[in-house]
Amino acid sequence: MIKGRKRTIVLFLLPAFLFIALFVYVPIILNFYYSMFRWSAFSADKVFIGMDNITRLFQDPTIGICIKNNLIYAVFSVAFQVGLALVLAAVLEDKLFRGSQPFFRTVYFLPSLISVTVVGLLWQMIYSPIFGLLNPILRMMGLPASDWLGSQTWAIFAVTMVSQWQYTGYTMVLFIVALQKIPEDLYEAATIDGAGRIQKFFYITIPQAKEMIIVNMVITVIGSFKVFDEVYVMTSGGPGVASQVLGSYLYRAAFSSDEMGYAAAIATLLFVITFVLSLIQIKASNIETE
Amino acid sequence: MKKKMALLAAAVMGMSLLAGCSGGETAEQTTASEAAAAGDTAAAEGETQAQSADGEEKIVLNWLHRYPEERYVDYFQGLADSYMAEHPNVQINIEVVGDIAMKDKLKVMAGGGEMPDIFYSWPGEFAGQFARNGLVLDLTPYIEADPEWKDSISDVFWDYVEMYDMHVGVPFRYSLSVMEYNKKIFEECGVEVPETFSELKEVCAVLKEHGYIPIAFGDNPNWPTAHYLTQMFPQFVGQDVYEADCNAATGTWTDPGYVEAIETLQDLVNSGCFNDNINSLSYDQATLLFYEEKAAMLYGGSMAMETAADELGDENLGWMKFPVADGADGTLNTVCGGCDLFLVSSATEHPDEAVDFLKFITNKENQMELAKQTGLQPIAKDTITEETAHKLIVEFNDYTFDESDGITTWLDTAPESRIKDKFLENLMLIIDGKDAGEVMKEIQEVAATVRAEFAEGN
Repeated sequence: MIKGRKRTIVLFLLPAFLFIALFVYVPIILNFYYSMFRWSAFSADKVFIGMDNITRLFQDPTIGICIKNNLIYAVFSVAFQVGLALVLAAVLEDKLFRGSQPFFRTVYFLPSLISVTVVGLLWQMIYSPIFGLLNPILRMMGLPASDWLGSQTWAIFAVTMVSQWQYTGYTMVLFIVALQKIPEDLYEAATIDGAGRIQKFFYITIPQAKEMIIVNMVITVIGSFKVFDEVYVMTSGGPGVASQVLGSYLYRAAFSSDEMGYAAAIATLLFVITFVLSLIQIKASNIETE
Repeated sequence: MKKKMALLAAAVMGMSLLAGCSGGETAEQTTASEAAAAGDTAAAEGETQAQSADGEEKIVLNWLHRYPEERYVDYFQGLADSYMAEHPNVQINIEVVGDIAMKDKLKVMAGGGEMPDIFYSWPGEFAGQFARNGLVLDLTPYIEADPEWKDSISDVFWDYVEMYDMHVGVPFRYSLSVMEYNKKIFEECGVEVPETFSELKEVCAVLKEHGYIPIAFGDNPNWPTAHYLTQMFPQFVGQDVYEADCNAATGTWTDPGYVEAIETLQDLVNSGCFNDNINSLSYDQATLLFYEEKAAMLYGGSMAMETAADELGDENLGWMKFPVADGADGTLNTVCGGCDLFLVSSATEHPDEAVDFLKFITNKENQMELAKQTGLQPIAKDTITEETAHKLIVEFNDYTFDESDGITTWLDTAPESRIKDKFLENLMLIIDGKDAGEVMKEIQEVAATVRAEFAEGN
């Protein structure tokens, strides 16, 4: 009887397992294997070059710029999509705002529904120093204007901010769901003890929403390292390589320079980074798995 | 405990969802333009075994082209339809993808070993890599067997497909870059058409005093700067040196003229010949500045002269020879441009029919229709006439073929892909004032790597 049940379990798990193995694990291994060759998409022969592509990663100054840019992306994403989103969620969950919550929730959430390509093109227009909307507004407020996407200093920040604009509302909604699960009596007890709104936020909201905070952090940090679309659409990594991230550089190596082996090496690096980061985050946050 | 497990599961699901999302979105980009085409492919696969009405097996040709814009796509469909009407035993399945997606698609198809029977290619190294790897059919026997066909197309364009001791394909249409100017503004400011760079700078200064942007220049995406350099390199290094450097096996890019050419362009930028913010202005936006008469000159595609004439009025639009560097001793009057090609896959089962179809689309009648219906410039002789194109285009064309020193192929397609990529990476930085010697040093380093690999026989 028990044996039969086990077989059923295996039968149920097997299709999904095979599916994931075929489309996730096999490509990961193949990717590492391919990174040991020099080959072009046009050519059938691959030249085995061992670890040359991997060592080249560490000598390539562009990789350093990519990682720096990915880190900038991660820092901003955590600040906005975790920090700011949590504050926004707490404000909207506050009794004062509950009435208008559906309106604001929708307004903040909407950008995340638009395709990245559309958002990228839209912001390209907004940032434009000649036709754009942003510079006149900045000047009106007495702030310095700039050629945002055309500047080697600002391009990566300009691109990063677009993602924040787009996704802060999304994680905010996730936080709202988490905050709604916090028992009301905790807040009531705190009120009786004389806690103010800020104290309640730090002593009740944050600890109670800890799991969701960690989940969102994992998602945003990993997302920051995998980012591609925004950069590709808005700057293609330029000017020069100033806003290049690992994803866009990988794409360039594969489809523009036609160095498939090196692209595979970059992909391996990207995989190692995201894998290690998620391990660290899950460990550090102590999510118990029994 | 259970709750935490659930949350972890949620996290994992969230991550995979995110992975799915981002993956999905990138895929979307490349496939969006292919969406329509996907239908065609599916249809194609379903009908590979199609039988014609009389039971005879149909010959199926898959044709991949790069003209998805609405004003072009009907013309290409029409070509296939009329060919099929004449040859009931042939079925042509069109697949069409856009400019950027085409590069990805061809690479993926080549990697997967499933090339369409007839496919689009840029000239230069892009076509060369198919030839080197044995992916295309050598058309030499077909061309030699049909002198009438050979004669109907100018040698200038046949030169584009002759490489690696073979004819890699057939030229189809070409485009050129031309310096256009607004005659009304020139008259108002009392300036003449400049012939050298020093004259150009003087003219620009006057135009600027009158409140005009001298030359509209938007470098997003990168190719406009590439076209300027394509135009300027031969003036400083000579056309033959540039062409030799574009050969992956031998190119060294060491001629000091390259540095001078880049410095000359930078000098034009610094002397205020262009608008500000070149790097973030798109080519289309720059065009708009010219059409709105805020800018006096525009360096752009010659086929757009028709639109420019509509916008500015026939009497206000003029074109000029690209100014010449003072004291340069290279090939002074080349025209930047190139032509699009169609290649036949070496794996095609129906080479004769594929070539016959290429003859059909390059015959004079269809090429004239190409000019009339789409504004693209046909390669067949005597097809660009007052009847099919704007008179300025005809004029510029005559100049290109009768007077100029020939066509220089675009810097963003002619060199080996890694060298081209290094240039592309540096173009915006050149505009920003990066040291020209530094730029060429980087190019030479990449070129050395490429040469070494070719020497190894790769």
